[in-house]
Amino acid sequence: MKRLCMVKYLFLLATSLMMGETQLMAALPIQTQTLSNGFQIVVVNNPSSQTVSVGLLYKVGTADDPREQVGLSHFLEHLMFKGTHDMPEDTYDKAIANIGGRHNAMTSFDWTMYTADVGAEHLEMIIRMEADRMQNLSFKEKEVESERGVVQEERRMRVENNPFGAAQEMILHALHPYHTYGTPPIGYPHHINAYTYESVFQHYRTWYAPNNAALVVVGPVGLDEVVKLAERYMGGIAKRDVPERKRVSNPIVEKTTQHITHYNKRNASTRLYSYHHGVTFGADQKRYYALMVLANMLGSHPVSAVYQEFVEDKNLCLSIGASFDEDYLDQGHFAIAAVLNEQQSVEKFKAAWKAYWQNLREKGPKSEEIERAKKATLMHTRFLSDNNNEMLIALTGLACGQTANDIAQTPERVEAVTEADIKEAIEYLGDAVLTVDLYPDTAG
Amino acid sequence: MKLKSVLAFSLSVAALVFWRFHGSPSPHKSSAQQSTHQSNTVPTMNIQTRVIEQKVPVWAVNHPESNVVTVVVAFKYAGLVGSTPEERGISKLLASLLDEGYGDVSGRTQKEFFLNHMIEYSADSSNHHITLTMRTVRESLPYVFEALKGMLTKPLCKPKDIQCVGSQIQSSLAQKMHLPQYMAQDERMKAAFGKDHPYAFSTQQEAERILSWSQPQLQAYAKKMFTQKRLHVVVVGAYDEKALSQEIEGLVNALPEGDAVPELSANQANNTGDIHIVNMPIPQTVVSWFQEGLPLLDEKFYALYLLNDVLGGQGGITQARLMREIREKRGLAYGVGCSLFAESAGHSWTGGTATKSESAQQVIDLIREQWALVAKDGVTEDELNRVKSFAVNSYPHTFNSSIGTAVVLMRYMLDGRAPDFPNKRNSYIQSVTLNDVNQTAKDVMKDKLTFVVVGNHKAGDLA
Repeated sequence: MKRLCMVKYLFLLATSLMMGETQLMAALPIQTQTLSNGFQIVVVNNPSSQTVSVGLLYKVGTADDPREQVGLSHFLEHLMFKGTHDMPEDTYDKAIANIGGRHNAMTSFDWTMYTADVGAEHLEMIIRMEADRMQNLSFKEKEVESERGVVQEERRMRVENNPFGAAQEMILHALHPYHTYGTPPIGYPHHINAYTYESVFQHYRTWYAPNNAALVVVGPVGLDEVVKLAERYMGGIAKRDVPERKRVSNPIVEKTTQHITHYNKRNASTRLYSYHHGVTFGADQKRYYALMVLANMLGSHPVSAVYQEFVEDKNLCLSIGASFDEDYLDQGHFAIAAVLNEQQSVEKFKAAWKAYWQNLREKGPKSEEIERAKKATLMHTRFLSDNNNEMLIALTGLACGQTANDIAQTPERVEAVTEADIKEAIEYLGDAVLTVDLYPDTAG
Repeated sequence: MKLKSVLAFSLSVAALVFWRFHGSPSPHKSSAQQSTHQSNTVPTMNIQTRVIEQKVPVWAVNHPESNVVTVVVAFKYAGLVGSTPEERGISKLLASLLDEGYGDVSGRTQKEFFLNHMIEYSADSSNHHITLTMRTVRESLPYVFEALKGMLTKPLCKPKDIQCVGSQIQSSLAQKMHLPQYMAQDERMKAAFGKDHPYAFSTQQEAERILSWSQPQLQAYAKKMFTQKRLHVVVVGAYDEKALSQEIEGLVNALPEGDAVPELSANQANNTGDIHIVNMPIPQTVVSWFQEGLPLLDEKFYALYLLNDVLGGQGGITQARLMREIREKRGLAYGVGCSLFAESAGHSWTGGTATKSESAQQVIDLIREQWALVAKDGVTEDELNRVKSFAVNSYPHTFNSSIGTAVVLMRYMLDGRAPDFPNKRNSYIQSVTLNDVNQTAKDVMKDKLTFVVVGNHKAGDLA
């Protein structure tokens, strides 16, 4: 799960990546064009790749699901593999397999993406099939039943068998008491049981419109070529009204820190979390990039000051790090997480963290810490041309309020973050809105 | 696995994404689907693997148009299989300590050096080898070798770092003991190869020992294992061959020659047909199974590989028999599959799935039924064609990043393959006939499978 948010800042283009003194990096050529029906095409040319990675991104996710049927976007994603009028049943699966391609699909809170990695000569076939299932999805009622069983098993695997599944659900709920971000993308069992043949189709017809989708292609291809194919297969699909993505907001509660304590027999270590309000790209770009760098500064890279102090010098915890919900359309969180060194007391760790955080708020970090964090943030950018799929995932920002150009400029915007921005971002984070202690249950 | 900056079991709410499935679908020769393009051409693989003359095996693939380069360095059998029973577990800690400083360079300085020179680093000790993987930009290649020379000859392994990194690993191992898939694997290895086999060195044993290693023990193990005789090198990406050759020579000369690496003998899995139950109070039961396998270089290996794909290979979504019967028709599992375990100290044919407790017996029966069906009747021409088509056409995807290519080539090198193996592999697959596959099914498939089940069951619950 973490992987995705890491990947996010790796990508986009690095125009001026510092290495040692001056190591300039050529910009990655992200190009985009939109057809008259509102269908967007984004191409990242990667001439050294033998294969293309194709993603069809729909701007709909769990947070857009009906209240009583949370997870419907994820369920629809499963049923998108059950065939169309012209390509019934598993034709899609067979066709891609036959050319040695690999396909996959992902559902997040704010987007759904269908991906395929194929030889560059098969790009047209993928676009043709995606166009077909954007319009002509067709599955049988009995397939809804067997797939419901599959998704219940998927939930057992990801949530119920997971020692931290229950804690994760509690935390989401505490962070988002009203917003649909409070329920995991797979939904609760009663949600899964509530999906119907009609509701899946309704969801499909409502959201899977060309003007609510983007075709993302990474590989040895140019924009013109992809636009020509998209025009041929997707250009004729009529634009239609798509609902505004308006979600129920969480109430604003100020000067309050919630706390959760949880004991669990299947947890082996004491794990401590502290959640602060994050910021969306749309709300405040300056703060957004500052929080991205700050997440790296607070432990997400191996030479951070916080890691050195808390893990190496004071041995207070075994690990410490921060993460930021950067791929969210609505407000997510900035979290700090640590695994306690069992030789130390929880109180001692908490007091040390409080002092550290207070000191950061008052004095700000050292400038070399910020520079190191920026370097670590941008390091991955350098290697994006080595992996088409990471680039595809990076482009899901298109469903979270970013334009292709915003995504392309990520490295220079990260580079432009100043010491003052970081100080302001720390002040913005302020006190935690939620703290969580997860303890091993050793009793009984 | 390196913990360090990666929080094990992080509860980050960032990017909660649900993947539909991992792996890849199996192919099918589609019956006259007008819209389904039928590909009959086999992709021509042209991986230009150069053998660079050195005292040690070196393979390199040059991508002059790129600016990224990956260096993989492996020490053969420096992992569990090459340890004495008393040493088992030390290789994991040693691998994790290799970026904690060398000579007069502190761990912090070393990690800053990597960051400043844009070197992405990881090290791992598997059952078999200790492997270091470093991806960087063309200009930093000399820095990679500079660091390697120090790390491999003068690792610090300071008591303070042993305690710090060892505790991280111990915490992660302690958590693994609550994860059914790891417990199933431990139990399966013990059942298949016996409790004293290196593959059966369990998560629990590893956790018990991880903080017991001393600085002198770690440095002595490094000295014993980081030798010319064990060293293998693969480089993929942007480099100048002459300069690279000199760098590698410098690394080789910095290492002691060492003793000849003892060859291993591979054990056949011991398939008794029993059901082993590991009790864990969880709602979904993890079911895994195994029977006898074949060594990697066996002449029937590719036939068995394709047979495995028909049954449950390549994560097939709708095509593989087990997926069709268990997931698609009955909705009993999110995924089910099987694969060949063909390694230098043992081989077996294993599979796994997970289903709600109440369905465990039904799923076990379905697996046995599908297994018996193939053992009796073999597979069809259509099935064989589809798995062959997928196997050959998907092969180029293996080589679509410098890091992916380097890791795969290292695996081939350590397996004893020739450098041009990637260019020939598809022809080996193509030459397998239906008769080969069905004869192999008769020869290799057994009328019993040994199951390992982890879940809310007690002995005698399942048959």
